[in-house]
Amino acid sequence: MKATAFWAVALLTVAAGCGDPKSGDGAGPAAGGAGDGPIKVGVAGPLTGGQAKNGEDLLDGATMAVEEWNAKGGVLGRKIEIVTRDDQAEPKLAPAAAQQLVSERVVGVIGHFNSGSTIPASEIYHKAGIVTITPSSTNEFVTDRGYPDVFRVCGRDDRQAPAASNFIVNVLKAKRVAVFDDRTAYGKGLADNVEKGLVGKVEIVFHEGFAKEERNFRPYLSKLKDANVDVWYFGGIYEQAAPMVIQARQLGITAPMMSGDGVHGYDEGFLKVCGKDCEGTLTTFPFTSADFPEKYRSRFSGKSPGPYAVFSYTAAQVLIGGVSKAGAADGPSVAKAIHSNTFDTPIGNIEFDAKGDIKERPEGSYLVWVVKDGRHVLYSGR
Amino acid sequence: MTQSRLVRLVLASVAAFLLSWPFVALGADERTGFTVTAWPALQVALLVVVSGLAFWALIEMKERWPAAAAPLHSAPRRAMSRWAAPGALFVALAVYPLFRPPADPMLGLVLDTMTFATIAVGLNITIGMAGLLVLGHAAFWAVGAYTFVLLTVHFHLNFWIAFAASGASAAVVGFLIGLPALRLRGDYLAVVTLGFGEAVRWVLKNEQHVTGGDAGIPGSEIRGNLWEPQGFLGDWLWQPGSGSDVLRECYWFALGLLAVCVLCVTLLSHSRLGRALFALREDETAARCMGIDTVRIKLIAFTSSAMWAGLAGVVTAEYRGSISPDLFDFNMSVLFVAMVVLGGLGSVWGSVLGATLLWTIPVLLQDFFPDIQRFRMLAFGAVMCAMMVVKPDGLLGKKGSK
Amino acid sequence: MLQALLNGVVQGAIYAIVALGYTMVYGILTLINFAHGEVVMIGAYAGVVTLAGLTGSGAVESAGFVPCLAASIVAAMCVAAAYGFSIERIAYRPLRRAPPLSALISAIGVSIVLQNYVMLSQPGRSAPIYAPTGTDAYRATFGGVMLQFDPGDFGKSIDRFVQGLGWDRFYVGTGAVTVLDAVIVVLCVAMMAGLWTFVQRTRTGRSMRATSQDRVMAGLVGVDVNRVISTTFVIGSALAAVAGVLISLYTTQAKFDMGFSAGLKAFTAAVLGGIGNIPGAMVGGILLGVAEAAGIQAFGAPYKDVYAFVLLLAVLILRPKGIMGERVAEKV
Repeated sequence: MKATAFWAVALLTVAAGCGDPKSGDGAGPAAGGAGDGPIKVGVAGPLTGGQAKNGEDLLDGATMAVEEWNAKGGVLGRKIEIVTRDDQAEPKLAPAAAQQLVSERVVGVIGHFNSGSTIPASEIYHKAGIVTITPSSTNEFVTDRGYPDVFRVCGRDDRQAPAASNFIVNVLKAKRVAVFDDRTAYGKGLADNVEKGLVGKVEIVFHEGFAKEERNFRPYLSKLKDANVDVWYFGGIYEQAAPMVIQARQLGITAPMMSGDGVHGYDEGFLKVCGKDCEGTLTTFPFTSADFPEKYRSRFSGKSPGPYAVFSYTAAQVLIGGVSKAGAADGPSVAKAIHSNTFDTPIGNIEFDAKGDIKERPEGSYLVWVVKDGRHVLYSGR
Repeated sequence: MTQSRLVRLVLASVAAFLLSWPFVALGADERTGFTVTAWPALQVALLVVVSGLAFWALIEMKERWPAAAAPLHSAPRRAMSRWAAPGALFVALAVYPLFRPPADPMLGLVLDTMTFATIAVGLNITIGMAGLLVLGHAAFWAVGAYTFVLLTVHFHLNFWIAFAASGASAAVVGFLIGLPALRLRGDYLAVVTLGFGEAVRWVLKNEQHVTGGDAGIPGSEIRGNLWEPQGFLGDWLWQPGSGSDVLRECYWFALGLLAVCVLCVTLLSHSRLGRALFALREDETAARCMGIDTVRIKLIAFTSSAMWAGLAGVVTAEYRGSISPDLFDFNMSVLFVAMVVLGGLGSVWGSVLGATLLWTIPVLLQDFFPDIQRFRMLAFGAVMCAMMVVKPDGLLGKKGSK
Repeated sequence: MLQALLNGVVQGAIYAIVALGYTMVYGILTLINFAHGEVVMIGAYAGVVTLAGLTGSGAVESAGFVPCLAASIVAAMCVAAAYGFSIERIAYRPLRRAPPLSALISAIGVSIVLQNYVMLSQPGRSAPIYAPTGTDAYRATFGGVMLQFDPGDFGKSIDRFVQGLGWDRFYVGTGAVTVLDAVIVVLCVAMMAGLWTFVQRTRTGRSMRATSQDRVMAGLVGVDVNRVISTTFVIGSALAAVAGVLISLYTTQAKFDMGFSAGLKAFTAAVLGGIGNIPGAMVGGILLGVAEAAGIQAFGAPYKDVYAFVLLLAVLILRPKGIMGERVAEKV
């Protein structure tokens, strides 16, 4: 009896799936939002899970831009609507989220957050003719595949790393350097490139990697203490950088930490948490305008923006601006419009190169910042 | 309300208050201060009373609930009727993609579910039949997927040869990890397999020159080699992904693999060997006394279940087009065990059902209730717990199995 | 090297405190309490929130840091005990007669619920919360160095010998023990001894031992089995809370998913020492911590978890029931 019921349910489920009206009318996936309804913009990133804070920044930034456009009456006479999908920062969930956004017929996607998710997801968007603009995936490979509809508004690891290594060699004139990374595509990629830039110019005492879940850094830091370095580089994000800096000071290490965009700007998670301990910490980060945080705070009742909120806002501005300039809401023409126009954004006037990266400025896209009195300020000598 | 019930209610209220206190009323934002998130005392008091009542009701209910499930009485049926319903399901699943648009997300979801069902049915041999708890099964899946990708990308082997090699390499690794199992029992074995699973993931992460490290082997690097027919007899043999519609071809391939897997494991469970496995689960000493070669049986269980995970890894790599170590983490191993246990130990169709429920529920929750998708994992955990409490022997399990 | 080994002992002591909870529940129910790591996390949150509250309200200045820390640990123990009690009632008791694996799955369900509950109900969502380790009061109490080791000539000769073998990563160096390190190790030993005495000497402890040997027989001779099991969960969870607070002080933060890694290693430690055996949990924990630290020092950090695995495999092949295990684990 029970077995029969099981089979009946199983068959009914399959039958019901066949008749699902939601996407059953057989239209191709590349429809891109033609028609009179609102233009749909996808936002995909870690809305839950260990990196949910980053996903929140992503969504907030995009929301701000969309609200501004809608207040002006939308684009092409149509309102803009955000569709969100969660990938939990897990590469294994990213393709499913991407497929769902494709079936929602978004014109473009702001996301994903992590390089590990953006790479497989953008394969799917590319096939469906949907524009991908990642606000935060810095791995070179994201744009090196040469897809015409994949863009990024943040920097690339191979631009960020030279900024750091040149600074260590030429400005700090350090002699002994240690390198740590968190074994992720982002952290290790960055640290490896920094190491490449340092080899032969300074003595690299060691290069160590640990799990991104690690929170007790004493085993590595006691090695660092014995190594007596001038500066240590960490390829990773603020969640580990904060306890690492605190524990380093507890062990009596005075050499400053240097890190990248994963640490910069997380006021709540890094600067406030470390307090006095992170004074002198060096970071590399692109230029951003000073009035964006104010705008953000007034929109989200005093909440401080995470470092990527501004890039997500920029990505949304570029995407919607592209739709407006293309005069059509289909992926390929929007991609063409983004390639051939200049956009005025909080990170400056930006243009895109053939790969889909921002064209590099003469002073370089990454600047070196230092923590002084609890704030990141541009480095200007000791 | 009697006195004792009143006392219990008060106790339950206090417990509920303690349970909710640090999280609903307070939250530490920074390291030197804390915030009270706008909860006036009255609301907190109300919350305490309401949650106390709910908590008390829950406990009362738990004690009255008939926890045991009725045993599954299945009269012996003829072979014809036994295969009729699965056959119908197979046909239904096989024609399903024809009714869907080409790049339908539902197809991807069903494909993933079928892959995980294959792994769960295979894992059922060790956990359900032989009673050996494995907490690192994702490692075999990883070995299969990586072997397949490395062979096709670096050595340009034909799909089917790489496919067989992946199953074989996972089986060999399963055999090796089965060796300590000969001496260890129960949870000691579980923790060894757990450690093994983590060790495999770290090797994949750290040996960057071979495995691509944490970023894994990305799609476009392997694409051509993976989906273009190549190698020995490459021009004559069909392979999934070589046509224009990768998703559907992988779908049918996954369905075929699941069907073969279900068939093999069902036949196994009715065979002499299967009965020996069940005997091992019920009482190892007794089984040995009856002349069952427990060493051989344990190794067979490990090897064959690892092989199915390895073959499923091929489907995963082929469909996704890119793999990375974090795909194969401990959470997936736990999920596989949960699929087997939820479906019912030793029940092949139970594992299929368990895989279907545990993989589709979170995805469908997100799809149908995107506004509350933040809460879906909360709901998922609660459902998982509730299903076990209501049906402790699994959905299709037989009562009394150890 | 010396500092690394000292760090290993402290990390091992933390593993050991968490492992005590696993081992207790296993001893009574032969059940892996998968939600135990989550109880550690709950305890850490409760403790950190209380401590942050006391710091913010000025209680630390008036009463001093140590009484406030003690108060937060007690608060954390109460909250965690309530959780342990409820988890047993809701997720384990209905499954007492079911296959042990069913309880394992419902425990996993509970831990998913708890993680997401904490993440969703916290204002910072997935962001960690920080123990007040930057305050002057904390530094004045815990920041100091207690003992300084300097092996001098002896250490230098070992250094030279080892470097002569070509292992330049081995060096003895100096080592320092901070106040917090000492507190962690002392608390670990004290709790282990207290628990052992409780189980061996008290009436409740005797009931526990009876229940662990034969639940049905214990019930027949008048032991209230349900009560004993509840007590076990309450005590185990209270210990977990202590561990949670110490972890968040040691690593400076508490995060909603911290229970996972804390639980995994502690579970390994409990098995290593012989699951179900109270002194074994401590031996296993400290051995695991030291082995990891030595492995990191000798061969580098990336394979940290692999060292733990190799140690486990080696010990279990030599002694299939763990270092101090005697009880036969029959059920799966």
